[in-house]
Amino acid sequence: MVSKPVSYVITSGKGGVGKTTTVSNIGCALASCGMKVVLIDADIGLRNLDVAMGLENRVVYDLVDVVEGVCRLKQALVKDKRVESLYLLPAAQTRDKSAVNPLQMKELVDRLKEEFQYVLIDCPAGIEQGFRNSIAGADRAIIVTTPEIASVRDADRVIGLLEASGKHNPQLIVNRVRPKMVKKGDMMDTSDIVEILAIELLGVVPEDEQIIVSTNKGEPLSLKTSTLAGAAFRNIAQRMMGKNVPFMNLEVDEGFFARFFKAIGLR
Amino acid sequence: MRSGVALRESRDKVLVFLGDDADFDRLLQRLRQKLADGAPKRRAEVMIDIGKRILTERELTEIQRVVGERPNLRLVSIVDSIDMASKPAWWPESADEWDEDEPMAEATATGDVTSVCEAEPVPQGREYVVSEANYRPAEEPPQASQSIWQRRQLDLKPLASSDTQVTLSHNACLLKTTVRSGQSVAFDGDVVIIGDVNPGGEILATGDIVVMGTLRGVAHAGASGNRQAMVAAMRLVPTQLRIGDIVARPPDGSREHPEGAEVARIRDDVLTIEKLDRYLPSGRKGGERGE
Repeated sequence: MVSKPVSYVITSGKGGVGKTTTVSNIGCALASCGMKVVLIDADIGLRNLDVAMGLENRVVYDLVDVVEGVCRLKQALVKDKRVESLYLLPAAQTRDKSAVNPLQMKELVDRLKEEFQYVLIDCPAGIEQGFRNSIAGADRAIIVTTPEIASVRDADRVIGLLEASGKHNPQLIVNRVRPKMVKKGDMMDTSDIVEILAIELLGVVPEDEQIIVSTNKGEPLSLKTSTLAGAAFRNIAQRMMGKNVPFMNLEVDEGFFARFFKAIGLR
Repeated sequence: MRSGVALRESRDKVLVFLGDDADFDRLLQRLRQKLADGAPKRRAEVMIDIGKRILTERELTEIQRVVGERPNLRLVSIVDSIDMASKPAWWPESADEWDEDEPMAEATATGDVTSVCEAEPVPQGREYVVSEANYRPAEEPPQASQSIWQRRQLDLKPLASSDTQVTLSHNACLLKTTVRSGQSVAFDGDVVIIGDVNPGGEILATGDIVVMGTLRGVAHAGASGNRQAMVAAMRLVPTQLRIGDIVARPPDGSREHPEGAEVARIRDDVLTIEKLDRYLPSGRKGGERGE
């Protein structure tokens, strides 16, 4: 089954909510299923996607080089070291976001869509030039937010801007959810977030310490089978490919002793 | 013929009589002057008698605007000679004193009227109803520059009960969308939103604001300084409310949000929020509600 090439921009407005982590994990999950995937780091000047993927030592050319004609597109693409059919187009670290304009980004994405089935654009935080560059070539948008009021407000702003640019029907990923805090009422419930933002929910990813380990090591969690967060990203990839995957129950698996004590009434 | 603008106070209403002058702009200025000098300083409702005049839409808007400049006055109706039969008993036949300072040019059925009006010509084939009282004695037929539909607009009769509030406004904006953070809706008139207003979003209206949804952002009603405006929502949980020149926020630490539709308005210089049921006039089915 060869699906029509599609480009996604993964954006949030607020910084630090997990866009880069999401891009790397979903990219790996999609490619593991046999899709041809390319990840574009659009955060020129503050690139991170290469680190999250563990490919920073392999970067020779970058996106700005391609746009300026210094190199060919194929020369700039970095092949992933673990997963077949996954490529990365890194950002430039020594330039800034004014080095590229939206039209150039769109042309670039269109060229990539000739080779790849999924083009995932990692958008920088903010709503200025970097944001405008990133959404230029995107067919669909994925909004990442954490269950925090500030994050949801920024996401709402971004959704408004996307709708104004003609990118309708963005999808939502709620990241870093802590089910215990939600139960206590200290953290927003996913349904509250969906009520305010009023867009389709694509996935819910629980908070996981292993994410920090994985980004430092450059090994996306979705490649491992042992974590809830990794499983959540894999489910998201499945939904993007059209499969109907029910949302996970995020109640934490507490471990034997915790459950034992609970059973005998001590906790 | 009557010329200029005359004011008369009757009960809690201010009656304004507009003369038959041709120069509408000067008449407006005169109206503004009279309202500034002669109108009461307390809150009052304004009714305007335009006699035999036929108003164009522009003129109607201008009158509304001039009355709106005085925040304590509210224009509730405009009557003309046609409505004589349905005027309440206390409505005087005419003002006692007319403007004698500077008699202005008398309107004639030719030329002068067209120079003031800018309405569209009456389309062919439509029935033009001319009543006796409204007929301008002239050789020529009624001016083509007077639109028919304005007759219906002037059908606001003085209301029998002084409790009923009618807003003379044909400026209303209906938005069927959710207003997101960072989006701003500004309108000269009333605004109705079918959808939510998210935090970070704002609505600015010179009139009232109604949100058929949840108001979580900022709403500023009566933005031109009208403290009579109101804000209503099915769920009223704004970050800030502004009516006229008054700014209010929810009390610190309050997390309780009562269910149901609520209305916010200024009462005795304080912004109060009450349930929609309380806001509607008594006599509703079910009788009055206790405090």
